[in-house]
Amino acid sequence: MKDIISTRLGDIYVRRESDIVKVRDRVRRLSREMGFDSTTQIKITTAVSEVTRNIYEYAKSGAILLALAERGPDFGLQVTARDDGPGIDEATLRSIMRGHYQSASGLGVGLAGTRKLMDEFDIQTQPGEGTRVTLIKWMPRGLADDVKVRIEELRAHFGHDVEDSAIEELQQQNRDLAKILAELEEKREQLEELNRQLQKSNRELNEANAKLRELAELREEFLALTTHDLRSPLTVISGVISFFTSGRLGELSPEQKNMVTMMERNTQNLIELVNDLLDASKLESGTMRLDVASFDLRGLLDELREAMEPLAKEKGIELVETIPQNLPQVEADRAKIRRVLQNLLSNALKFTPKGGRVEFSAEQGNGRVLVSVSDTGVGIAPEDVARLFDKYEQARSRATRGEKGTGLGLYITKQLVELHGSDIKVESEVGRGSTFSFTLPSVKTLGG
Amino acid sequence: MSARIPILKVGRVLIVPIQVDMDDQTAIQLQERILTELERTGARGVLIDISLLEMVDSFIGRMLSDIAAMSRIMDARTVVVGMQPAVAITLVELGLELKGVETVLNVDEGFKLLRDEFDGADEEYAYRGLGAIGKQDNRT
Repeated sequence: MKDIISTRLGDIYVRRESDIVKVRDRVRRLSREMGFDSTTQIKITTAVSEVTRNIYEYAKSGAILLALAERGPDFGLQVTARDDGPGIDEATLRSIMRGHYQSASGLGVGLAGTRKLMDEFDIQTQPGEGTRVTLIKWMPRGLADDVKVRIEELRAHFGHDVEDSAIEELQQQNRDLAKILAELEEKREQLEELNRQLQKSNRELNEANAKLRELAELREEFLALTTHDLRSPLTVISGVISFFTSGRLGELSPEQKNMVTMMERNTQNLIELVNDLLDASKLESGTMRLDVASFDLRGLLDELREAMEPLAKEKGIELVETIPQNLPQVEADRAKIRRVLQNLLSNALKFTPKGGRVEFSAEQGNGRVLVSVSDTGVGIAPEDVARLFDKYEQARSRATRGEKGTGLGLYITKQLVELHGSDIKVESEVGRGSTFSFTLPSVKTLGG
Repeated sequence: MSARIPILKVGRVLIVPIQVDMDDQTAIQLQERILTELERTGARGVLIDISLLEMVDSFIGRMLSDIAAMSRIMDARTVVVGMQPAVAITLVELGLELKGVETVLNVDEGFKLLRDEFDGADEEYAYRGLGAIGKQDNRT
């Protein structure tokens, strides 16, 4: 409805059949109060009665909105019937407006007749969207001004029904609550569905895990078997070689001696390689066990020096050790620490040029013993330090190509140190040398 | 809250003065009560006074039509009296036809109409009743 200004007077809610009478009564009194003549009062009341009954009949509940309509110099009574019912489809609406539609209760004149009784008629409806019918009856021009002046009075008399609006409010809240409950229920169902799916994928994961564990065990077993099978013949070869070198099989010619020495060295390398592989696989699978006991680092170092001395001498490298007299014993797995130190020392010797210096030192501090191995070798570039302890790193690195080894050495060293609750530290400068250090728990001295 | 509408018997006529605005339920009950009273009293006429009714919408219109049709089947004639001019105008504008309902100006006229009917020949009444049904059929 174009160009019409509506001033709201009040609402009446329609929920019960008796509300139809209430609406009729209120509209009749309002139209009388506004000054409509009695015939017009009856027309308005009849028209409103029709639309109100439609609300009750088709939508069960809705509201009648009363307003003062204003268009140019004209004033009128505007009544809007609003509901959230099923609405009316276009074909049916056309049929209704032509007066052809036969409803169950009326005489088939409802909306079409209503339109004739009022001056303005507008209907907005769509299936599922409710219906909104607006009716206006204009007043004779002479009476209009009076109505405008009395609008507050009219509103007070015929306006909002407080009790009704409270009930309506409650019902709206109830509807909202019901809706929220329905949504919650839906969410709960979704969650349950999600849970079921999660449980399913959990089961699948468990199965996959079990399979993986089985595979890992198989691999361990395979590695252990292979390593063992590799080691046994090596032990035999190594034994046989010692027969030759011991001279029990008669004196060897210098050439033969040379060859046997070569065999011995290579066999030894092979044994170390197999040991490395075995250790790496144990460390990786977490099956490496420590056999912790108290021991003296000095004794261990003496053993190592004995093994390293020949190589040091050959390369003209000075082996220095700095161990204070009162160094306490350490609490660690002696065999594993021996491997760690052997690795570090042989690396130091390997990467230190002739005439260099390799130093072993130990000092006490903070309940632990700090162990370090320094050399005056080639050093390590900062960008390489981080990758130093990666498995097979040496195989990738160009700097050390040509040096023998699997590249497992430092990986094993780091893992073993970590098993002892420490971390291996590297300080290095290219061309100046490197220092590798770690700590071991010291045995508490009595009374200390 | 439905006010009970009285049904009075005067001679062989039931007089039903509707003095308040009825809700739909009251209207349906009234319909039933008139039929019950017709059966109980053997009345031959129903006079419905709507002179105080300020509004007849399609529902009440249909109720009046239904009362007339049902009474006819119960061998009684229905007359609606005292319709206000404004209500009549509204009914016409609304496009409502009170099918099969006879209307007269006031109670006096209505009474006269019904009494004449019974004082005269019953045969004639029956004929006119049939005529009314026939007329209705032609219209639809």
